[in-house]
Amino acid sequence: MLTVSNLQKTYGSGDQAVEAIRDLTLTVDKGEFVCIVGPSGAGKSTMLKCLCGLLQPSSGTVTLNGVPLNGPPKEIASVFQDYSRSLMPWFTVRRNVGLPLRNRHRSAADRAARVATALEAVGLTSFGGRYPWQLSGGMQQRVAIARGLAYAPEILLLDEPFASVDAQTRADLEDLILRVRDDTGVTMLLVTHDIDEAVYLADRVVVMSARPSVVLDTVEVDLPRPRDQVTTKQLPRFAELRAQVLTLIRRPAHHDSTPDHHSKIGERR
Amino acid sequence: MRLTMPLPVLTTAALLGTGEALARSGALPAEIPPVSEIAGWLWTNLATVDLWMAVSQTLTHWAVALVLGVTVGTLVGAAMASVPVVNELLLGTVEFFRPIPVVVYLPIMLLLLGARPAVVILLAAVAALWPMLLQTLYGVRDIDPVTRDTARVFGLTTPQRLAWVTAPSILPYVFTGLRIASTITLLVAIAMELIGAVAGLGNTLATYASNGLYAATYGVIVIAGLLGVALNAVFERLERRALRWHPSHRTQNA
Amino acid sequence: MRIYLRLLLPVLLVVGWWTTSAGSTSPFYPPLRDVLAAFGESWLFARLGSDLVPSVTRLLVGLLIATLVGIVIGVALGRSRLLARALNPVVQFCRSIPGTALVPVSVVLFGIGDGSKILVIAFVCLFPVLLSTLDAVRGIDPELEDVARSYRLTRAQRLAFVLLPAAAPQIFAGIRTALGIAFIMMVVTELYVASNGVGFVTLSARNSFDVPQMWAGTVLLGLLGVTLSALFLVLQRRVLRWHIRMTERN
Repeated sequence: MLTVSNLQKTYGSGDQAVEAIRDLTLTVDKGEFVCIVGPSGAGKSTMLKCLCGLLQPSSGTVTLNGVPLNGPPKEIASVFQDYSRSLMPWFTVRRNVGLPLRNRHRSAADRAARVATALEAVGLTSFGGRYPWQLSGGMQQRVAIARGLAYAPEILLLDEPFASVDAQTRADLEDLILRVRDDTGVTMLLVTHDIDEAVYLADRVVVMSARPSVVLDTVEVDLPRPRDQVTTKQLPRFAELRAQVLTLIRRPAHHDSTPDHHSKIGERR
Repeated sequence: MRLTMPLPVLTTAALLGTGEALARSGALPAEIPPVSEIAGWLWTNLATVDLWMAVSQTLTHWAVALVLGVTVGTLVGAAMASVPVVNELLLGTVEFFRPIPVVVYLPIMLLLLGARPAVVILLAAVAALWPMLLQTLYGVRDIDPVTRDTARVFGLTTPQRLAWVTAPSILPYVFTGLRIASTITLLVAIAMELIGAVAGLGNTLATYASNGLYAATYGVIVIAGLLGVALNAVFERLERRALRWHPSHRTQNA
Repeated sequence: MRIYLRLLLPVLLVVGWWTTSAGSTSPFYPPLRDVLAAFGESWLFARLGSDLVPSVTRLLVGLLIATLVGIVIGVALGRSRLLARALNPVVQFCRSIPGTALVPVSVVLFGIGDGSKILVIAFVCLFPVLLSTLDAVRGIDPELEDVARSYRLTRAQRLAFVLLPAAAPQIFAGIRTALGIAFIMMVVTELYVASNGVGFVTLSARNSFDVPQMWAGTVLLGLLGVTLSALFLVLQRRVLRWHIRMTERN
């Protein structure tokens, strides 16, 4: 279980301080699929970096199974937005996926078996010997997902993972992620700016405001599973949920619940 | 920010101070004089004709060689890049001679032509020629095909195309070539002076070193280093000025 | 047709050299036949071990030291802005000294033996490697570092599997520059003062007025330059195969 309470993150200090996140509180239960949506420019990536231990919050806490995070934990794997930048072009697909396993599994045979299983899960069994730049964008992102899966995490964090692929590939990858979740039961936390995607994938959608971000509301997604790109999206309930999230995002943010001393931090002495 | 400003000054001073202390305490061999002695030599000799004579001789070798090498290199490079037959004719030869450093020809040149400034200039010019030739070649070849097509679509004449498309496109390459050529020309010029005993900084160094005038030797090295720093700075500034529009420089000004 | 055209000029040059020198009576311009004879006599056997091997060894050892030290310092300065700022004046000054100006001092300090030559070659070649490593390490995509950190790679793993491979193309470009400079330094140190080496033999042939030997030495040095450069390209192509193939795709 991942618990975030009163997370706040400010970059810089003094006159140049930029407050990316003001006040975030959320809980992700084991096995849950949570999507976080927010307008472009909300502190979504900042938040994910705090959640996976890459960034230290300015205040507030992130705890995993009751233990406060101190650096990247071994229970969390990340899939980054830009596959062309997050895969190592000097390694083959197999070595890319196997790289994080070096500290987990001593035996090379053990590592190879796990890499093979992960590649099979994303349908890339026959591409292990290729280099990332020999693959299409969608396939590269599948490699990144396989790398996350091979790590056998409790929680998979995905930062706008389908933002740089075309629409058809995007739908395929969404379904791939759903299938992987069903097969492995891994907890998923996915950040996106696409409302349809969030509603389609999630058990619960957390809506964030523009910077400085706060949680506007949480929407429970009670759509039946398994989901389907055509039939699920035709359901009247899908349209309702979608409208609900959209309304939340478009409504101007009210920060009345936050303490006053946070406001206009850049202008204060 | 304000606090870290003098950091480079502090570390440099600390390094120089350590050198001074080591030399004074006798931890360093006698052939390495204390920094203060080098500075003292520089101070008393900065006003002498001899030193500036040597500097100007080396600079003359450098400048004439650079102009010659750059001109010939650019012309041959441009000819190779734009006329296929010339390219085919010269490519094998260029590929063969390019990795041969010019100092290789020094003994034979000393034999044939004697130890003269002209020999220094000739060889240093050949050294400057290669980077210039190659950069021009790469530059013309790498002109963006879209830019080239655009120019053709708008019906630019050949001189217009050369002036407005080819020249600006290859300019970054030309400046890279210039910077490399300048460094290598100075390196080679000093080597020639050193070995051929042709008047200039190289020869001055050899004389001082072999006569055991160590403070003077290091003083001249400092001068040579500062010369290198100054030439680098001049070319970098020229480049930045001429390439303000280029992506690699645009961000710096933003 | 194309390949013939490429060979035309080199063939003409050699034929021209042969015919113009064949009947030459000038002591400075001996017949090419004599030069080749001197070449075969000296460089194919007699002086191979005594002069060619020491020259090449000094060059390679100097270059190797420069490469290792340059990468270590380059990575350190690339990782720490503070360190890079602190040492910037020293590095800028040292890299701007024309390397050949240091040859007399190296002889004064370390004599005329191998150590002296190797040291001065290494010092001068250090800077191209150092600066290109520094540049490469600074330019590494922060996303890759995030990946490495979030998957808990150790410092050593990050260095070996992320930092160095990412910097390798630029480091190789630096080593290639350094190789050219190392060759110049090798020849200059031997021409200045030495007791063996190809440059030494070539220059001392002048004193005994053995002109064909001088020409032969020049030819050998030229061939050596060409060979070393070609071997380096082969090595680069092997190590950076991924990079070359990736660049060719785009």
